[in-house]
Amino acid sequence: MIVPAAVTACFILLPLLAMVLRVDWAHFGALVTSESSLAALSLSLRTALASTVLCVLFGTPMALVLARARFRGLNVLRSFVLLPLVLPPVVGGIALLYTFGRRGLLGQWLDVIGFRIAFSTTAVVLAQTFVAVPFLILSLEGALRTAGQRYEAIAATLGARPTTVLRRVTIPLVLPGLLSGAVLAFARALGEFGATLTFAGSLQGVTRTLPLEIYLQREGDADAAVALSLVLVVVAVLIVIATRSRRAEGGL
Amino acid sequence: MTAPRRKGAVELDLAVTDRDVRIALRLMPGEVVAVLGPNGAGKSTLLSLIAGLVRPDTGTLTLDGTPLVDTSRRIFVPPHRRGVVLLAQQALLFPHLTARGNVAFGPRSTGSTREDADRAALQWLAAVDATEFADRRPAQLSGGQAQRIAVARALAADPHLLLLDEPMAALDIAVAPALRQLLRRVLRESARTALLVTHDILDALALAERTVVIEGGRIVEDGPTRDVLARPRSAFAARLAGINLIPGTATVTGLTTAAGTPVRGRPDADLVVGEPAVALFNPNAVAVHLDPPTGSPRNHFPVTIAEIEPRGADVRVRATENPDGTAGLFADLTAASVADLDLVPGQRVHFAVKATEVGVHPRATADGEPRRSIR
Repeated sequence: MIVPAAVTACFILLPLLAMVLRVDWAHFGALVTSESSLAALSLSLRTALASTVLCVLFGTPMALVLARARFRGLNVLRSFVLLPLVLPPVVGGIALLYTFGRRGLLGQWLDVIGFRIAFSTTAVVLAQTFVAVPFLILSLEGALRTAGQRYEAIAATLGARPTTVLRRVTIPLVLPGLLSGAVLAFARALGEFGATLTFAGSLQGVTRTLPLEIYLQREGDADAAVALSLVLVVVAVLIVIATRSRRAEGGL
Repeated sequence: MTAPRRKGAVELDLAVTDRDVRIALRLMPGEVVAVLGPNGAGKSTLLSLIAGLVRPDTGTLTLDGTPLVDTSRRIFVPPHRRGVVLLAQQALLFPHLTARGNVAFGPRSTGSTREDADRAALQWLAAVDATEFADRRPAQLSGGQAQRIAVARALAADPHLLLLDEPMAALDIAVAPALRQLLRRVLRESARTALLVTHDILDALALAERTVVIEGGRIVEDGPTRDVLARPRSAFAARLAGINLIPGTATVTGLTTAAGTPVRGRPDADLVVGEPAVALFNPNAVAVHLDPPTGSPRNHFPVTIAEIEPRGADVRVRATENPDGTAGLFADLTAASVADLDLVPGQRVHFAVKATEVGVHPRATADGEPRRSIR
């Protein structure tokens, strides 16, 4: 058991090590602060934060429905909501294009009133939200189920209307789950590549996020790609540490 | 402290078909009623129905004349508008709020300002002797402390009806009497209608004048607590109780009955001299003598045998009813000793029981006895 586990650990750590070994430390600073790198980094952070906010706003009600409601078809609904987890991102991008693109299902009407979403920064945020929201929903639904409904029942008998129960009892109780869900969604949004490229394209400063920049740089300037990759690895490690310590103290 | 009130009249007749529960019950304002019954009998379902956490299939529920449930008229008032508060086995304090925040939750939710709710919270924390814990989080409280704060939280919501679901069951044996005493005090002071589900006859005796027994989703017994426990008619109450009860007033050594007979026993930790009390002892701790036993540190009661009934290997010797109509004492003897003593109904004998076999516990004031004034 220990030997295969060690193989697994190597399988995960070795590529990271290999990459770190290739970092051109002498020029690292210059590589990650070049104009295109900074533009991609800033765009990535802004869009990932925006889509995390959207995930919280749209994912929270869905998690509440999945955890609390009881109706026929709930499991089917859950499966569909979690579909983006297993769907290839590029397929998600295509699907978004046929929804919000200029000739898409909704896009043609949005186009009439002057909204063009595809190949804009909005499209980046939508693509990231599409792939990231299941992470928030899963994490929050688990937290809601763990918390149970006993506190909510007590709060109701104490005279709290449902909105008060939600605001003063349910949300505070599941806050650790909500936070770790948001952090995971942020991480997924930050790493989004396929759906973004398909639905939003790769325009510097507008839709070219860090993963897209890395992919492009890999062709011309491998050192820049490696340096930027390291930035994302560091962010990922920080996120893993943050969610782990939160789990330890929050019991979720 | 809230002024005494006379509200909380409850009338219900509710049924849940798939749980096979059908219960009809009336509570007078200020009445405390104990609900006894085996696990799964429907006790908790009854409380959930009244609190509005479970919907009945059919039935009605009114509180002070206001219909809360009427299935024929499609009335179902949601829990937060019922004025019915549930105190559960676990304190279930909101873990993200301090003790004070927990107690203020009810007033805050029903429209009090922050200042008023906070003031009410401090008053109720003082009423349950928990002022020192005001700023602690539930995680920093012991089970008994948390349950005291849960009592304060429940009362701060100023319910018309208080539902208590085995509030002592999860507590340490050492802590339970103190909470029982606290509940006695606050229920009496606020003259609040309450329904108390319990497994412990001491809870019923200490807190409730009236006891109902639920078995198989139906009320099978309903009467003054003392009668239900001393003269159980249902199988469950008989198993649970089957114990001798002598009511009286607490003294240092035990209690004195209304007739002035002293009963010596082990006083409970929460017993207060001069308060209503009840002496309990097992029928198999009772010895039967033909002549009055002399010079022994025992309680002895001259009685007349009413009936002698075999109970498995033992024989139960039951004395006649007391002049006030309460149940007579009874003794469980071996068949051999009944034969030795040649006991027959109508015979005058003496029941003797060692003081160490007698527990003396607080007792809820029965109807007709003066209620202690509100402080």
